[in-house]
Amino acid sequence: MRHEEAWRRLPDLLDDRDDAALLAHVRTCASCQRQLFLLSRVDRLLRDSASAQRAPRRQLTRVRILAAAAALAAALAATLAVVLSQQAREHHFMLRTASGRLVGEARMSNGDEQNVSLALTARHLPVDSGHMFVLWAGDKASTMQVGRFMVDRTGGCRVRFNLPESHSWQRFWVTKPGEARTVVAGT
Amino acid sequence: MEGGDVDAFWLEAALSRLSERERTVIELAYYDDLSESAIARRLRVPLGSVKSWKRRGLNRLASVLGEESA
Repeated sequence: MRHEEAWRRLPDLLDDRDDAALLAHVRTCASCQRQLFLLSRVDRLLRDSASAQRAPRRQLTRVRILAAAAALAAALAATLAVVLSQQAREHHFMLRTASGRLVGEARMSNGDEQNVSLALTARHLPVDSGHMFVLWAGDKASTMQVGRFMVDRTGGCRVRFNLPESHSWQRFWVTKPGEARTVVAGT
Repeated sequence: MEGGDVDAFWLEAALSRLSERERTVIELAYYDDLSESAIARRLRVPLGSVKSWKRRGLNRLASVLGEESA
């Protein structure tokens, strides 16, 4: 390889040291060895300068990561607040007959965006005049028929209803179908 | 002025002595960390031109450094 060609291609050795012909020339040429030494210093200076310029970018990235972490923490806090508020909105009611006998319980919890979920567990409701019952709910201003449900021969059942979340349900009671004024059990 | 500042000052002065295309290719290679192929695409020039300008620019910077440290 001629010296001029080797000299021109010396920068290639900064990235690729496998050029056998070029390396063979450099081993025998003091001028190229000195130029290669200077090239490696220039390469180092450029890399250091590039790193120094990237450092502020890295700091900016760090700030972005911290901001993202803060946003994530805020989102988690908000989720936790929702979960806690849902737990706080869970209500538990006992259903008793007029004589005070416990015949069931109702658990109200958050259902979806528009409804609350009511889980009714009945035990030993009186079945002497049929196995069908009606569950009612009331708030301060209104009364609503939640739904009908059927119990087994022991007067027991598990049933779930959805109620509109727009009301603040405070009372529940059970009647026989067609006998809205005869309360079998209530909270 | 500290060592790093001196180096940066020298480098800036040395880069300013290159032709515009030599300086551009070197800056894209080192500061933007682009490969020679990516630089060719970015500048819309043949890959051979990028290789040639980069070699020439680096050799010139090394020669400037050699002259000043001689």
